[in-house]
Amino acid sequence: MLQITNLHVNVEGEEILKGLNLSVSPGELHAIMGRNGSGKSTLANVIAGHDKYKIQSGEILYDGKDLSEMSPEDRSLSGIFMSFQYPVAIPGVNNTYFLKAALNAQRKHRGEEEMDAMDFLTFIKEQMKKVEMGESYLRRAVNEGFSGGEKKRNEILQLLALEPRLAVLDETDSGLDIDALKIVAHGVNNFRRDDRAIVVITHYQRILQHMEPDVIHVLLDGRIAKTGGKELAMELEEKGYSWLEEEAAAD
Amino acid sequence: MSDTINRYKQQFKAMMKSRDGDISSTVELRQGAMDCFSELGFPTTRMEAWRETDISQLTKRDYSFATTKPLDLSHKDIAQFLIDPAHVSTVVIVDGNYSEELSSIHETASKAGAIKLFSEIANNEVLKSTVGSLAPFQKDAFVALNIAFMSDGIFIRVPKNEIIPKPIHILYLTTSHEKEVMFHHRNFVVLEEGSEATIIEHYASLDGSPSLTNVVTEMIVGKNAGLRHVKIQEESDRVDHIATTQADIQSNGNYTTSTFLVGSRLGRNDLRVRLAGKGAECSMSGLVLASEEQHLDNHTLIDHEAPYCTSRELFKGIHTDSSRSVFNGCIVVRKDAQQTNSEQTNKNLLLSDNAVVNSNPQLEIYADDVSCSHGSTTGQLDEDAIFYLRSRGLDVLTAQGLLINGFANEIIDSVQIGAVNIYLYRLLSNWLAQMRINING
Repeated sequence: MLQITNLHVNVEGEEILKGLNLSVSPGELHAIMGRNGSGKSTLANVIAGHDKYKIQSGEILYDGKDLSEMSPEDRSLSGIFMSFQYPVAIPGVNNTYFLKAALNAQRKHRGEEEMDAMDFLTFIKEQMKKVEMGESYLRRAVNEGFSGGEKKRNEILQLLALEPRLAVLDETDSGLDIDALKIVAHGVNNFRRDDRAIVVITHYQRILQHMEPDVIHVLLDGRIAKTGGKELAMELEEKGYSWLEEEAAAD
Repeated sequence: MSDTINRYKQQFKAMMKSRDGDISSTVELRQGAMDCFSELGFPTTRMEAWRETDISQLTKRDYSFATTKPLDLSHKDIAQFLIDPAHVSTVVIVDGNYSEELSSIHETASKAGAIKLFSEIANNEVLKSTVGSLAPFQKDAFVALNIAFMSDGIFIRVPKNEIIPKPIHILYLTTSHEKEVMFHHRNFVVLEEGSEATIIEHYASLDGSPSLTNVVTEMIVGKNAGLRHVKIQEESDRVDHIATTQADIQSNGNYTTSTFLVGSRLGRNDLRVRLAGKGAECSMSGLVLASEEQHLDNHTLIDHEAPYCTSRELFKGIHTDSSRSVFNGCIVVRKDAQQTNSEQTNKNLLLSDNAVVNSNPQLEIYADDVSCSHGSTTGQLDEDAIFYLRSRGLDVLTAQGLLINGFANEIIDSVQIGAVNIYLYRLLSNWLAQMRINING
């Protein structure tokens, strides 16, 4: 589904990704771990299509199509979703209005009928229960005045509502207390299906305790330094990241 | 300049000839104002208050007072400018003339005898003693010109403790003319003690002929009275619109005003509020939508004369193409105005590299026990917000539209008069649709 080959990406003239390879198939949950500055968020943003992140060489294929040719909205409509590390507050834009516009853009693209206001409210309230959001969020402006945890739950709500095929969750666990973390993890588990893939980007392994990752990658200085199973997360928790740096330096 | 003045003098002579039924006090008033205008001449950019408003195009135009009979219009012709008549009283003025057929005054307003034309009550003492008392013409060329040439005026007086539940919508329309014509409208509103009313002042054009609209509005909000005032200016881009509004608020009176400046080639809106009595309140907001070659200005003054008064001011502007706009907001807190609470904000969105906005928030404080703040921001659409919306499948134009709506809606939402809000949302969406054509074209 997602095939990244020898990807080099610059941000404001500085090379952040330095030859990254990654292959994700439907049904899989990949975790990408790494320190701050290792390139985790760059990877998420370059998949979503933020124009600040410039591909220098290498390619990202999604269902065999070259992603660099696609606008952010086309990527979204073809089933790619990024949960933002820092979801943007949009004053004056009502959350319900935004969610409905986003959902109907997807439905229109899929050739489905657009949802009217009544059906949408019934639908979205059902999804909100899954991430334990009260109905008052529907009346507020998008992410405005939301706490960190509320913003992340609003991201997972969008994940559940838009039903993408590939979800990239950029540090969705950061800044969450244990209860919020469980709610978010539960939402993601709810989303998981054989025809969908998930890439969880995180600094800590604690969210992985509430999910079942198939593969864990460690990102180090813009490259995948190590790939393994769930045990790799435990090892990182015990030993930190420095042993991998030493290993990489020895190579 | 003297050629310009002479042109207006000749116009004045011709007009006075055509109005030989006027009573002597009116003739004197007009003559006095005309003399004053001749003395003052039009303001220039050398004057501080007009430094950023270049009216040289306006002064060059050969405006004459309209002599032709106004067109016979039907409800259908003006439907696009009507606010749901079930919810408002409508007073329609076509080319300076009141149209009885097009107007519909709701019972609550007619029973209170609230709405009158100046011409109906020319000898009324209240009218004679108060009109011009708030906005004196001696120092202001456009106010002087207004008195000299004014066709008729709307006089709204709400008696003590009377509440007029339905808003009064005053719609000034201009139609097509062969010559460049000018209209000098006048509104006078008095809310007596404890009374309440809502007034919507609305200017629109039925076609694009060049004309000048020069309006003076005076308002008195009595003790414990409450006035809600909405001004909508959406005249065609061949119209020059100059407006002077002066409102005096007496003790514990409340004045809420919202200005929507969308139309005209050159539009200047001077809005001055005097908080004259203890505990008076003023809430002032505005939205400017400037595009193409428009020049749209708001010059506001909130004068805190009395203690314990509150003022809130929020003006927003959206500027695109090669438009130019000015926000000059001055808050004065006089020596006796202790315990003043005042807040002023101006926010601007620039959608084009060629659009220019000058924002000058000013505070002049002479009292020592006050709480005042002001601020101004000007920027482009938030790129991160646009990316966020696009990453959810919305195209660039939809994303921009959502953000612009979000920015503008704060002002429209604050009006809180259902039927008027609906009108304003439509005004905004039409403007946005027009802007999209400009972007794509």
